[in-house]
Amino acid sequence: MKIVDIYGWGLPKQADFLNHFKNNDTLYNQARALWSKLGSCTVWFIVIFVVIALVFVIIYYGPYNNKPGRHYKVKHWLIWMLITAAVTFVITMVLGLVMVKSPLSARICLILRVSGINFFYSIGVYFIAALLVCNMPFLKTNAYRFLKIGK
Amino acid sequence: MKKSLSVPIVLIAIAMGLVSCSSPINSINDPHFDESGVYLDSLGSTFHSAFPTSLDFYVEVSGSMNGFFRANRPTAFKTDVWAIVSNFDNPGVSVLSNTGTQATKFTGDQFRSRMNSGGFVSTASTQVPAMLETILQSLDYENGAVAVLISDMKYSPVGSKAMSVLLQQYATDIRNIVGRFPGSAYSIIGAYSEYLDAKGNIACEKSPYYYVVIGKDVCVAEVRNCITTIISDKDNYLDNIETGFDYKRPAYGFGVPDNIIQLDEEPTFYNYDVSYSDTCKVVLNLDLSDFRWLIASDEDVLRECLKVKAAYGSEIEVGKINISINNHNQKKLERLAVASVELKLWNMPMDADVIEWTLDHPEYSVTDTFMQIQNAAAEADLTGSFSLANFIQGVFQAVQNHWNQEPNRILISKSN
Repeated sequence: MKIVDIYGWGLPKQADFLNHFKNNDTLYNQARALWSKLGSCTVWFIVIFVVIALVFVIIYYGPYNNKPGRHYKVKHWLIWMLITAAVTFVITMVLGLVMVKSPLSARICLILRVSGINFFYSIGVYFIAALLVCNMPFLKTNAYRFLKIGK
Repeated sequence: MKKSLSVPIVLIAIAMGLVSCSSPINSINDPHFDESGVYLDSLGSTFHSAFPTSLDFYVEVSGSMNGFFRANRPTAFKTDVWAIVSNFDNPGVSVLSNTGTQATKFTGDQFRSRMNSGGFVSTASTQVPAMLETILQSLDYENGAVAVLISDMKYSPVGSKAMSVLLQQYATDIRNIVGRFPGSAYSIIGAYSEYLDAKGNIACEKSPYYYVVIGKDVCVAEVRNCITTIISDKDNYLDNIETGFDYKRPAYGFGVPDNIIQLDEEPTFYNYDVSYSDTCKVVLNLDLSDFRWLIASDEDVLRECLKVKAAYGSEIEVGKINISINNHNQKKLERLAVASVELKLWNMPMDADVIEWTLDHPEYSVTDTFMQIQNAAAEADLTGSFSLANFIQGVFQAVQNHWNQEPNRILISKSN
């Protein structure tokens, strides 16, 4: 899977990115290696936002709302969503810096962009997962199912 | 769902991601190697000499050669020519006469007898263009035939009223003749001999003469190595230049590296440990056996010809060079010349880097000795070769050397 398949809308085009270094063979090779390395970690960037979003949905609709007296509605749901997005951003940033090594300063900018994109993707997964939980009666939860469709 | 299982599952998944993103030897995803470090580019063919299918000797017997042929007087010329001719199972020697347009063939023994007794002393002129054309017209070089012209290469059209004009046009004449035979290669081997005057006294201790080897490049290389070995064994070797060769790629291998490990037989090294030493070393063994002898005999020339660079920004330099030469490999007339070149790499900015190296070939004007000799001012100068520079210019204008300039690559990786 290429990184542009999922993150293309928030990243520069590969050709545009590499063109910045075309006057120096060494920097060009480093830039090409950086882009390739970023691409090879695409699957794991996807795993990060999917897994973190699912985990936080499970925690919200599970242990968090099962404590006695809790039956949280929209406000808490939104807070958890923001926490999910923020944690996704940070973990993507940290793991990106660990996995993608390069002497080019452009590396940090690219990883920031991927982290930002993961921020929004995690919100999407959180919403979809919440929608499923709210509309599947066999999934037990004490939380208010405000996303339930129909009665 | 239990949260107790989800966290470990997440951690395991992330750890797998970390491992999968950092473990490949080709961690920089260089397109010339696969993920595990196997070289993907085609290595291309290398240059190896080949024995000719037939070998003919031609000796020029003009007046300027008399000093080498004096009757019953020993000269290095006679010794070396006989050593060379007889080395190849007495193939017969053609003597060029009538301004070079006619070749009279002698057996090896007949030639030797006449050579020793002064039978070739003459007043004939040296018409190099005519000699060259005579030889090339009957040479089936595309099928491996090789010709060796033995001459002092002094163009002297005796009696010609237009001599100065002919000399000015000499290079062009040679270019035109050689240009009609594409695919032919030329190796000019210079040797020294005493030059005797008419009374048999030494007029010049070291007068140059030449073996011009003509044919297909791989066959010329084989004959060049044989002739040069015989001459240099007797300390009569001057120098050699050549053109018309396609040197392709050099054959190479690797010696024992330092702070890295070679991956099987690949040009790939891994386990570069910067905590052990900031520098790693690759020993590149270059087979120079069939190239022009200058590359293997002069370390400075080899350093000038060898181009190395690190593609991803590491510091790199050529360290020690050790050249091992044996012209009698396995106790026969077989040349083995190997240069062990130390490539030192440090300050690697990424987890891996690629060394790109090429072996260029020196231009003919590199050696000072050859320059001095080929620029002799007059035919009477026995220490030099009058008009040789024009001959060389003509040949080099007609055919040139080529080699594969695509870099060879070596992957160095910190992965283990």
